[in-house]
Amino acid sequence: MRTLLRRLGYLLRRRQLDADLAEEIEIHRAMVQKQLERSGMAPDDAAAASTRTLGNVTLAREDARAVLVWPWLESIGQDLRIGMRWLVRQPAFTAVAVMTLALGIGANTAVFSLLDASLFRRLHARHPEELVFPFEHGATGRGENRFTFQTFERLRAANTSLADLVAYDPSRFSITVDAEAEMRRGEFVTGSYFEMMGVRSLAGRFFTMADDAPGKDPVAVISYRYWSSRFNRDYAAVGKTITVGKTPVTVIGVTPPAFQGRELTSAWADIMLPMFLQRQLGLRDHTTFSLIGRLKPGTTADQAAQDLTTIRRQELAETGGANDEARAREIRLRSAEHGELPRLGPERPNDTKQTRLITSAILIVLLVACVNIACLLLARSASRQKEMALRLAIGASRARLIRQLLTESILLSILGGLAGLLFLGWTTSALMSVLPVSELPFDARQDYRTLMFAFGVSIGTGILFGLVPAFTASRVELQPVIQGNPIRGASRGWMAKSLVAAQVALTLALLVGAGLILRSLDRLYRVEFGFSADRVMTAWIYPTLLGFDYDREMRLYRELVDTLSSTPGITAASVSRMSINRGSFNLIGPGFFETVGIPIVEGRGFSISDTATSQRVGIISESVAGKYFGHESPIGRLMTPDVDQRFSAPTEIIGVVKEIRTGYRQQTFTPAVYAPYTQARRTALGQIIVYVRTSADPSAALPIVREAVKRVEPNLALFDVNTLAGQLDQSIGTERSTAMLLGCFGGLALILASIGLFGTMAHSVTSRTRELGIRMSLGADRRSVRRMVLREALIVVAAGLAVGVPLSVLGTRLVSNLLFGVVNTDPPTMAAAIGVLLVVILVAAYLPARRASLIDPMVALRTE
Amino acid sequence: MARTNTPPDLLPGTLDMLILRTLAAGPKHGYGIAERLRQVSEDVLQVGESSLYPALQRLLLNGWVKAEWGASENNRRARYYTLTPAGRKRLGAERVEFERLVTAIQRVLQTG
Repeated sequence: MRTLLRRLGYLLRRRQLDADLAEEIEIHRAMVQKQLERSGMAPDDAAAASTRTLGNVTLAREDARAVLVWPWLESIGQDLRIGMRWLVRQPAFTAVAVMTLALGIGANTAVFSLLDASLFRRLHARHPEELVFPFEHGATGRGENRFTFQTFERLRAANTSLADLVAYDPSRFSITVDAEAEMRRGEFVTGSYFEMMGVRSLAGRFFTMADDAPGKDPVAVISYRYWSSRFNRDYAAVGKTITVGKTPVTVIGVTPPAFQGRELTSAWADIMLPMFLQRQLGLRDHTTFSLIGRLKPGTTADQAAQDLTTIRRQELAETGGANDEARAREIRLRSAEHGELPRLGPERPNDTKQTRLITSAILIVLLVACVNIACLLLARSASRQKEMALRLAIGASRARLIRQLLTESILLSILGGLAGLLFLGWTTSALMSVLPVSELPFDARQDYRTLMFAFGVSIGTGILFGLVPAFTASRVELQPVIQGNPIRGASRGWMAKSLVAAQVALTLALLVGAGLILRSLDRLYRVEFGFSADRVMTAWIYPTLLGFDYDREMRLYRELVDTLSSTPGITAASVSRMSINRGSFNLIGPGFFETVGIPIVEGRGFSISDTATSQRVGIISESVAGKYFGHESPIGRLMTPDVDQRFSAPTEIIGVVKEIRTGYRQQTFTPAVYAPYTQARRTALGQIIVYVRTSADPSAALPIVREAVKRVEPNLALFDVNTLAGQLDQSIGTERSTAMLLGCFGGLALILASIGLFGTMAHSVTSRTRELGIRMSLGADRRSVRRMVLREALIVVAAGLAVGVPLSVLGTRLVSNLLFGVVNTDPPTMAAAIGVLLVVILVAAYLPARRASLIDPMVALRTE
Repeated sequence: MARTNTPPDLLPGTLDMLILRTLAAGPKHGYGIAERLRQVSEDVLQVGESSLYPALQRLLLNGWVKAEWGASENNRRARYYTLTPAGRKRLGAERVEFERLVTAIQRVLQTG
């Protein structure tokens, strides 16, 4: 260790050391000379003799310093300097190579930083490995982290294995700050939440058990994100009173930026309220709670699970649930270290598949980039034959040359990596915009790990693309090169061409993948839904969050629809409890069918005269009518619950409508039953979707809608504002984003492959100038020369395609679950991909071919 | 690129020990060490600089000797090497080891 430190010291004082050694040895020589002079030799002779006796002074010096300074370390510095000089000498090549690598490495790093969250990140909490989610498993089926509040309180009080247990209820909040209503994600948590998570507030304080009791002043903690976006990071936000629903609540603290609750995705809570407020501000149908606990130090998850299971079974026994089912109940604990979403893997097959697909595609791009630069380097290496030969001639070993060349390629790739990092923010946001971020635990954050990754990938790619060229370039036949008559290595041309062929194959696979998904998308977009999604805007509203009772809620819906329908620019408006693509039963308002464009075949739609007290009425779709009434008209007939459970009471059928498809991939139309929301159970309501048909672009109508809503109820915020078309689009988000990604990657690979082929062919033409000159002077005309060069390129491409077609058939299995109406061997797609590839590649090959045909035979023959 | 750092006649590592022994008598510069070795060994050990200086650097690196610039006998600059306490200890250890080795070799030769 001490030796190592001393060595480093020497490395820093290298110059001083060299000077010392040189002087010391010179003094030594002078002393020898003096000695010789004393024994009677003439001074000149003595000087010569002393030099002779000492032998090779330089060698002695180098040997001596080799003891102190590792020679390899020093020669790497040398290699780097030489490499740098070499790169600077050819700016065009360097620019192309660095850009290529920047694309490859940058894209990979961006994907890594996105995946990082789901693969490696841990919750921001004290000892996150101690945190656990309890899941209750019945006799069959999957476990659920849902408990009643009584069960929670019992588990918390009676357990001996947990340091603490907390209940939470994620919800939506309508928050009014400075007269501006807004919907935010948030949650109710029991008082000890923050203490258990072990985080400290950024500003103000967190609430505790003392704040979480009925009758206490309502308080809230807000997230750093909300604090930044809504309060401009103003410390005066702490202590401010905001209105949650209709209740004034005091903000008492802000969480630190890294704290995301139990989420590693961007979908974390922006406002946290003590649990006691849930009864007055929570959603009406939220009656169960999720739990998170912290294990006591030294307790295993299994012990704690057993402890909790015992308590739970005891509770069931006491409350009369002592049957076999209850006895089979069991509480298991899942680690909360990495947040609520489990890691990618068997528990999340779809995300895993998508992730694997993206990762494979991005790796192919990197591979194509590597192969591409290997091609360019190979082409370059011919022009460096003389340099290599010279170095070999003056004593460099082949290993040394290979190291030199590898150092250069690693240098290149690190430059590429740095350039890639420069654009990282841009690349990442581009990726985020095409990925269905809300569905995946993607949260782009760059830190030292991203840097480490980029650095590692850079070194790796440098070695990958540098190895083959390095070995090829360092294999130089000394004699002919020095004599100025280099042999054009046949093997070098072969190597470059197979690399281009490999690029062609990989690019084809990407293009075919993108093509297949594009075709699927095209098919999907042609699917008929049975309603007209254009020009319809949708938004959720949550009257319960404002503390509205049933009567006020009903009044709100009616006033809202009335106001909206009579607003200029809006042609129709209505409401429905369930999303239109959610299935076979829906609670709707008057005018629903007109608003979303479902044709009424017979009878009428609901009207304002269908109320809670009037005759129960229902509307059915054609196939339901056919099923129960055959060819007879169902209008005026009664349906009862024992015939169809979707009717909760005897109901008079007043209308028949066309059927709709509920999803893009739905093979058939869905038989549906509609009831007026006014006749539904009270607990079924509390929130509703508003539909607005506009006369112009629906997204442009948003301000009009907001204004109208404000007129009806100033505290009412719109949530999940979307267009119906957009909503449908989201259901095929994965297909769309994958098509876009593969399309981008395919295009990228295509550009790279054509650069590679262009470089290789151009080089091949240059190195064959003389041969082509001879051919032409012997009578070959320009056209046949051009054809010859093009033929050569075609052979390379054909070889690439021959490998690429089976490769893409294999590779596209990865996307088969995303395909719709096409198989992964779809011939038109294959043909189109091959066509695109051929055209681009032929253009890239044509330029060198043209140059070849323009060679002047006389000049060509004189060149060497 | 194999070059020997010690004269072929010496056992590996012996040169380092001899240098340490030479310095045990007091600080010397490189030439002085070489001369001393030659004189004492009656011209048998002629150490060239191609082995002397690497050996000295090795000793420096291990902290067994210290080097300082000073004035030589006839007032010229020279770099003087001094034995450090660690070097003295090392010399003792190497001597014991070396004598054991020599005795062993002699035994083999005599009984052979």
